[in-house]
Amino acid sequence: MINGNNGKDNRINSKILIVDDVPQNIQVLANILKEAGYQMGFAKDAKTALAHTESTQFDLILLDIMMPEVDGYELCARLKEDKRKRDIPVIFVTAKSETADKTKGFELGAVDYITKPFDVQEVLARVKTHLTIRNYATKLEQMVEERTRQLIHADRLATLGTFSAAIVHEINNPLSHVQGNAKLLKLFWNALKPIVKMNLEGHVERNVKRHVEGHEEGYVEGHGEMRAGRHEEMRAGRHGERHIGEDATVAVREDTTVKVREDRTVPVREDATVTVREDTTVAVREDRIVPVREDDETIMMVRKDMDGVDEALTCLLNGCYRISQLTNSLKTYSRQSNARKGRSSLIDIIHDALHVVIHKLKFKGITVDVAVPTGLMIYCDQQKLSQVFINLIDNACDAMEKRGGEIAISATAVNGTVSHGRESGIPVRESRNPVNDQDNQDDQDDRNDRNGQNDQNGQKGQEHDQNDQEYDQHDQGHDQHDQGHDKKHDQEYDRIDIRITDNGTGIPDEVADKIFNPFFTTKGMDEGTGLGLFIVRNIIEEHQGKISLSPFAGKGAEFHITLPLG
Amino acid sequence: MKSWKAARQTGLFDDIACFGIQLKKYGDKYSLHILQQFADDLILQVSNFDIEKMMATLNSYPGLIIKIKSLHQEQSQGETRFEGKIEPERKIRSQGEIQ
Repeated sequence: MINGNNGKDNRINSKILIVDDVPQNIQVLANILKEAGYQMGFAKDAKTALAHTESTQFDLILLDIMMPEVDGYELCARLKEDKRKRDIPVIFVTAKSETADKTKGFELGAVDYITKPFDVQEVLARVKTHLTIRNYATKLEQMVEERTRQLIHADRLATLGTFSAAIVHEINNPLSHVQGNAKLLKLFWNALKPIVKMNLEGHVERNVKRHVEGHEEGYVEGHGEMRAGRHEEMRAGRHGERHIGEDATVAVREDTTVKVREDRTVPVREDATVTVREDTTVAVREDRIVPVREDDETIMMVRKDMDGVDEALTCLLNGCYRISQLTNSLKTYSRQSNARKGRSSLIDIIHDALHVVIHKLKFKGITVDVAVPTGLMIYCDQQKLSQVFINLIDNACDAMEKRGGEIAISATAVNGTVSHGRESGIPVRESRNPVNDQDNQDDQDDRNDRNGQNDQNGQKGQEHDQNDQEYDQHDQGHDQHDQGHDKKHDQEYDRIDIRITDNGTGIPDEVADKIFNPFFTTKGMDEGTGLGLFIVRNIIEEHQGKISLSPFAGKGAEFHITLPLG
Repeated sequence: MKSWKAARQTGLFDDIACFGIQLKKYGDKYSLHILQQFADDLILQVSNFDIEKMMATLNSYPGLIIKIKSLHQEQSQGETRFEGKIEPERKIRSQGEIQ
């Protein structure tokens, strides 16, 4: 707000330079202005005056014309040539009272002309007037500078909005390919999985059997030390303990007969023996650890990872769904359109807004509790109302100094006889919260993965598909059920009470009064334009609604919005 | 000296008055009578907007500093001769009065 006519405060801050070669003249003027509370400087010649204006920012110069060396006209002309000094108003105070002198003074850029002898009150009045104008001009310059900066910022945001719409479009095309193909892949996989699994299991079994048979074909030779198999060495062990040099093994327990070729020493005489080699058959029950061939190993790995394929496909579809939600919200938000009112679900509008600011909520670890009846419909410009929630939630995020803050959004339908009564509305139930839902969904995914509930994941993917469809239908209106629901509510209630509460740092009383003013901001120059809440108020009023603030100093804030059901 | 230069540069009566008040404090703190007198004169001249005398007083400031320095040197020499038994503040004041 411009404060140019604010009496004494301005006088104290205003600096006036008196330039006169006669010290007594300076003394007289200084005494007059001292009473009015101005700060004064003096110079007895043009050179000193120019030096003083270099070091001090004066608000007004009272300039004598007749001075030795450089006169007042010349000094005025020099001041007006300097772009840093040309805005300082100059008032000529002189004995020269000819019209031509005055005209010359004005032509050189002076704002006023006082002739000696002067009247004290006249001097004070003229000085005050020109200082007021000077203050207005300074403030206006500052405002213009500030508005220019804000306009540039707004223009950047508008450009960003246009880009967003284009980027969303570009993302949506490949996303639809990925999503469509992932769904197709999942369908195929669901059909193919049992067949693949069955074949793989049969293949491994056949290989193992071949191994076992291969072992049986060999002979075991030596004195209790057996050598058998094709690739591995086995240390003897009649009890079946065997070590295998390969990492991949299969344990097989079975009864087998092993041919043993032994050298048996037979006494021939008392002092002589003969070694006889003979074959015998020994029955052995053992746990055989059979090495698995390289191709078997791959097959087993594939069989083991088959569940992972389910998981991967589900994750792929979930990811696509989330991207789709985000791009749809961005599309809704960045779309440039005239006011296009229609019946919209309040919970959907809030969810759209939450999707846009979700990164900030996650980054700051903020929990959002949404308590809005799902069937609550409102006649509004969905895009604009979404912006209301985005601005309010964004502000609430900024008000959180520490991580782990909480924002609560609640809405109830109320009738005209009850003023702002939360308790008089439709019973509120906890509705879905996209922020928490995603985390919950992640947790659920983890649980499902652990429990191998792949079929459920598949169902979830289908649910997401349905959600996608819901999003698609969003602009086209809502189904019969909702309409019926609304009619019932319309008969009983005439407006909606919405409350957005946070537990941030709160809003001081002195700030609360100005918070809806345009260009008022408590944020830094680069953080806010000061237009957020002004826009919010305008949108709410455009919808014949009201918005108010309950600041709980140091304990957060609550915005209370009332909108007609329409 | 910086404040003296600043007071002359800005050309504001208030700055010159502040400079005078600052000198007055130093004069009181160190019992430098000549400094106290200088400051009193300057403050009075500023309050009367007596430009000519004020400028003359301001212009005499470097000379005043030289004078104070020489007094300090004399005092130091005196202390050496009299084994520092003479109280420095009192000595400066007495010489200042003679001046």
